[in-house]
Amino acid sequence: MTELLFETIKTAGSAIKKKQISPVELTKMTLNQIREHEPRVNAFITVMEEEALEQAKQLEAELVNGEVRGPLHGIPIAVKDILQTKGVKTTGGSKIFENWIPSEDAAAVQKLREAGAIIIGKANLHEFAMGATTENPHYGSAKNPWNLARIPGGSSGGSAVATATGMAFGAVGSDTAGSIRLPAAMCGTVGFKPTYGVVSRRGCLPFSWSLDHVGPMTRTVQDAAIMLEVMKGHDAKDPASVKRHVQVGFDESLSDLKGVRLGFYEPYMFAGMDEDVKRVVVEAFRQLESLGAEIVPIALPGIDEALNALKTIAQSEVVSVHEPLLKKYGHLYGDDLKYRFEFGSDISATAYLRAQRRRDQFVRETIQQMQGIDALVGPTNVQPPFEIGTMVPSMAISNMFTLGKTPLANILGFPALSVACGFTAENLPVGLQLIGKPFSDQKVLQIGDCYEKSAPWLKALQTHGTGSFTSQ
Amino acid sequence: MTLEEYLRTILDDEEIELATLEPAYTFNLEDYEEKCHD
Repeated sequence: MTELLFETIKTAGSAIKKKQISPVELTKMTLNQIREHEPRVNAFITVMEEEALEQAKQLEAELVNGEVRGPLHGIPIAVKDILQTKGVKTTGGSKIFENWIPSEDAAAVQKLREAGAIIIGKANLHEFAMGATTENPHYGSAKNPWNLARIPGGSSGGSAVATATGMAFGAVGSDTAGSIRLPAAMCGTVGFKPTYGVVSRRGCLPFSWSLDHVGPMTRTVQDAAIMLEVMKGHDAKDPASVKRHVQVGFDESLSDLKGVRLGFYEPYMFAGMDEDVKRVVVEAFRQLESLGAEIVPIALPGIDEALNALKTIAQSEVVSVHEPLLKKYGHLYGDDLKYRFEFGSDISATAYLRAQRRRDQFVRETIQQMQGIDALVGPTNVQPPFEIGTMVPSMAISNMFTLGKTPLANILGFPALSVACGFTAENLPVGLQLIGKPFSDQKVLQIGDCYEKSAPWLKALQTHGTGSFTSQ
Repeated sequence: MTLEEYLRTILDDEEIELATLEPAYTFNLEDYEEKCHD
């Protein structure tokens, strides 16, 4: 029966709608799965057993009355513990917020609840989402289900682990330089960072205002589209929220990728890459081509300066966010964060403004370069996950840059998908990344969905979950 | 409680106003379509 926990949101939602399983039954199954596996993977900071069952009962009563809110009706979803949940503590992965019980849900959480999703728990994360490993000094390290000695990636590591292990059908993550996509890639799942401003960040503790995104983490691309369809929408209370209607969901999968052109900038995408990871990604490229996609070289002038600009912007903004807390509670931060604040605190206002102007220039140039191109293609992670406990605090700040190729989509603000594309010789997952043009979220998801459905081993992964995890 | 209320319990009052404000920010990809066709 636990097989159902590894089914897609679409399949589980349909089973609920047809009354083959009730929201209460599915929630209880999910809670049992958490009880059994959580002690080994530490995916959650808070499991919301009571609240989830209460919600499930309510949704079940609605079903009895013939009411179905939508495809998420009765589906257990995890939420990264940096997003506010009404009545449930929201720590941000920090000791400073361990006693905060918000009076409101974050915008994305509120929308998911309204659509019938059951919030099953608050997922573990790198402290304040400021790192790529989810080695949390206050709540313990989340562990990669494919090898429990390895990091799951971060900062939304708990969200990826919960999704990969059937402890949730999907999760909400946040992504400032890759925090949704990197852990998704390292745990063999799907992560999608929407175009900047498509999902409201209201109620998400900020890391860097101009780079922060909120998005879905799932086991399939179509499930990500289903969640995003619910999470998106204008929010007057988020200054970055866009007003336009953005197409996201799709009913029909593309049968092939004929006519799709993917831009590949090798000097960036394959730099610093592990040979075994590269082998997997190159194989994925061949698969895309066999589906009819054309992979063409593309230039990204100014990319190095733009990535440096991202570091300047992120560091300046994060210091500004934490300044009041640091004065009084500096001793409560982990060692890697203390190092980060030292590094970021001497950036001048001139350097910050130059970085924002550089960003503007790079976005305009990249849009020009992408004319006639549907998306950029490359790896998500360029290294396999390393062993827990080996992170050096002074290196933590650059982990997102050395482990993956995710920061590019944050400085651009463009939509970016990570989809599982294979395994290293050590049986560790690798992610393929697609970065679309602004507001082409649906197109990126459709390309990823077509690729995913063409890989039979991926179907097995989704159906059986992390096989090696259960035998460890 | 709201974030502001929580911060009020752990920080001095005069710091709260700034602590929860997002600076006016102009990055919006909706603007780039026009800029790129100039």
